Amino acid sequence: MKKYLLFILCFMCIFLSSCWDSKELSDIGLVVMTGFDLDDDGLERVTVLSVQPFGQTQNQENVATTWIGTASGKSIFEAFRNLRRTSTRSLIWRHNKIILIGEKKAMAGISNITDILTRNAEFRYDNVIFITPGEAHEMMQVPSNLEKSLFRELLGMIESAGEWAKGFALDVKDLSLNSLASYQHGFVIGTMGFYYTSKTPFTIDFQEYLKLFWKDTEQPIAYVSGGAVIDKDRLVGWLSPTELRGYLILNNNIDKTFSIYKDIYDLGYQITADITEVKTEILFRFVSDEEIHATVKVKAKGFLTEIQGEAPQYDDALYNKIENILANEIASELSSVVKRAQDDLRTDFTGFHKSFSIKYPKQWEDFKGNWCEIFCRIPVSYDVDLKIRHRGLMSRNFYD
Amino acid sequence: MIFLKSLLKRKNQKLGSEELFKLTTSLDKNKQNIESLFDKCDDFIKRDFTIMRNRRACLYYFDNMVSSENISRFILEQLMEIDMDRGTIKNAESIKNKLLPSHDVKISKDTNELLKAVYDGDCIIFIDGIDEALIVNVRVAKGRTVGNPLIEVSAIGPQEGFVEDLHLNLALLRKRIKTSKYKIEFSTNGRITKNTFAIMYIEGIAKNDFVKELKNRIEQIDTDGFIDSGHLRRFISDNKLTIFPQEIITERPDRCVNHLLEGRVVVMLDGSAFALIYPSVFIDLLKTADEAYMSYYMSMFLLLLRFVAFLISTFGAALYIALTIYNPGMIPTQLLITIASSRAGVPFPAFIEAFIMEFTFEIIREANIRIPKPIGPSISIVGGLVIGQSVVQAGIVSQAMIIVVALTAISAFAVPGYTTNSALRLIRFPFMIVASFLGMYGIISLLIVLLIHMASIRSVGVPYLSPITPINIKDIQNILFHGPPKLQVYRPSFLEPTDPVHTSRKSSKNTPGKKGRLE
Repeated sequence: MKKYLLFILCFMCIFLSSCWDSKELSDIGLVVMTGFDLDDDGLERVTVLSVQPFGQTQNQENVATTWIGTASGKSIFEAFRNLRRTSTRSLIWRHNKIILIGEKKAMAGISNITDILTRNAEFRYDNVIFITPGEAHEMMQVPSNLEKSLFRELLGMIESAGEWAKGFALDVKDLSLNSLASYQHGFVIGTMGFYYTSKTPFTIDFQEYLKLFWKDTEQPIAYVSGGAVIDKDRLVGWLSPTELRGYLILNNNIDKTFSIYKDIYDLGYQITADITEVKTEILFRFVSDEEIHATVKVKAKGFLTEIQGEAPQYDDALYNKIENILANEIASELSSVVKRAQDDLRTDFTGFHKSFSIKYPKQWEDFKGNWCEIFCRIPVSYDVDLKIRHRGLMSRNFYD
Repeated sequence: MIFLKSLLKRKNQKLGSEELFKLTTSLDKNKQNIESLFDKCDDFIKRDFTIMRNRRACLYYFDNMVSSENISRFILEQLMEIDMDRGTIKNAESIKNKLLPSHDVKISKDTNELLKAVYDGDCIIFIDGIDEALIVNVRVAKGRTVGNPLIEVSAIGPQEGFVEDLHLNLALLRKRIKTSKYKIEFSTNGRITKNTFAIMYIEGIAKNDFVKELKNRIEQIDTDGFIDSGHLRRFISDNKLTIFPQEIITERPDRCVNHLLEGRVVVMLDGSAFALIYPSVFIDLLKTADEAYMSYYMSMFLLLLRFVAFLISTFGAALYIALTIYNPGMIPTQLLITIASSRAGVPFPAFIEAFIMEFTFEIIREANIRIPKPIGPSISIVGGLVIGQSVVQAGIVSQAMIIVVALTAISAFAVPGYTTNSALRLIRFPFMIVASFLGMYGIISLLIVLLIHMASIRSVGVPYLSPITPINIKDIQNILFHGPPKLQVYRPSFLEPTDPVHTSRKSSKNTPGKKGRLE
């Protein structure tokens, strides 16, 4: 008897929890993109792009449609819950991929977003974060072009940002690390947005849209490029795509390659090179109690991809010349970013403080409180070591 | 009370045991006795004759089990011969020695033995004035001849399979094992059917306790009879409530030889084409005869493949249910959207959907076995086309579910052995039920329960999960990874063989030298 009682007890312990958190697949909406805004009345606004499986139709199988929902609340989580008012499905964030923060919200502070992203188990650490000029709500209403849904287009753009080096995606893990380490000193979040143009890309699926708005009118097109500088939790300024590239070089964040174009007036030709294997190091040549001198050392390899105009014979002299010219170009790009940080935004988003605090932990303790001031006074020199590896398939000039 | 008493009374009666008589010197008495015993057995044939004109005799046999030519030529013709001078007949011994040229003649007084001989297809001869009877072997094999194995098909192995005749089967084994150490012990059980059992083992390899234990178990059964070896295994397996088979069932003589050499014991039953091999462990269920004939890379790969198939067929449907209901976060986004859109519009929850499909599949499978062969294809068409396609088109079941069910079903067939895959058919249902209301947590807890259960099973005292628990690295190397002969030195140690060495280490050295040339 006791044996049976024990068995029943064990059985109950295991099975009484039952199916409390079960959700049928047909009842859920998969949120794939979430936008955060700040309303004029001070309420937090959340906009979601959710994939709602639609089922099978006669001609087309497995159709899913995208639902754009928005709700506001006193806190972000309350806004999440308020979404239920208009949503027919129960929303899950486990498949969320993109997080978009509106300009106004970013200026007001993003710490509560960082908090909910790290506190809530439904957000994965590989979610990528962007700041958009304007409202996130507006950005998320941009119609998708080639792909079925805007989020998939954006994911494709984020993937290719690595090949371009003018777009940049920060994931939740990096966001939380940056918020911890560089709260005082600033860091950069990538930018995405949209612009109106009449030169729209054209796909079959886009036909319907074009029927409604004739070609001559301008259509919104989404993009991923540029960056936003966050200092002490707030958005303080925007980086142009080229400036963002400088920032990425400085931070060793170049994924694959970037290309650089240079007019060489005195010789009368223009060259474009693809730069790869970029390694950057920030060195401090001289550190005293008052003064710090920094050198940015860049090592990279390049490939000639395009030459316009008449180029002289391919020889070592030409290569050396091109290497020097391009190295200077990179150095000037870097210096423009550092200048922007030192003179304009007056915040060390470029990450000098990271290298310094690692290399000079004792001095860092003294400088920590006043780093912004000190950083803005640091003279920075640039040492770019570029090697041209090959000139492509052409052995000579095309018209020779 | 009366009912109980009658029940007890019936129990005390020895059901099926026949009223036996004593042989006397009077032929008429003997005839009367045996004829009354086989009253209304119309296939029991009697032949009266006179030996050398002076002594009456009578011959009995069962029709259809004997060679009538043998009886005429080697018994009647010889005994009724009158011209030859063969001396006088004093006793049965002299008849056996002088008159009967048959190869197998016995003399017995024991009526039990006489009856058994008649049942086996011998003929018995009563002679007037002698209180003994002669048993002459005139058996003829009736039934299937040795053919291809039907269930355990092998591509390159021997193409012989057991048949329903025990003696033919024994011949198939004896011709493969040419040693006096190979022992075959007969015993009889079954109150009415009186089945003959053969217990086979190789002395000096197999542990004696296994043989003793199996013999003991067979002897202790008290039942009307055994229909087949599949029926017998219910009586002699250790754990009678488990769904895991605790023996290897095979119709291949080569597989029996392989296991005999490992130190196992083979039990065969007259009238059954399947041999039972004891003891067996879980891993044996995943093995086939083919493995021994292939390169060890291939056999290792196949073993792995079957294990994966085993996992898929057990957990496939359950994992689908658990993941879609409780952990959609674990499925890649794109796949989830595809699954979800195929699920949309389906009126049933995932569990009911899965259950409907699995059950439908089981019905089709069962129907396919039972259906007469000529109309078999129609079931496949109805099952495959109508249920597969129409159900999806009608929106009753999602496409994803069809894929899952098809995968689990096909995987179950990849696991060898009919008994094994019928066990698998059952295990997956509790897993599905648990997955539907407890998700991954339920699957894992049921898996733990299942493992505890499996660890508690014994096959003739050998732990079912050996060599994994209790762990033995050498055995794992031997059984799981069919290495080159150099690594295949020992017999599985969980069988506790008397002689542990299987292959001499030298045997791998007689290969050509390093340069690949014969020296």
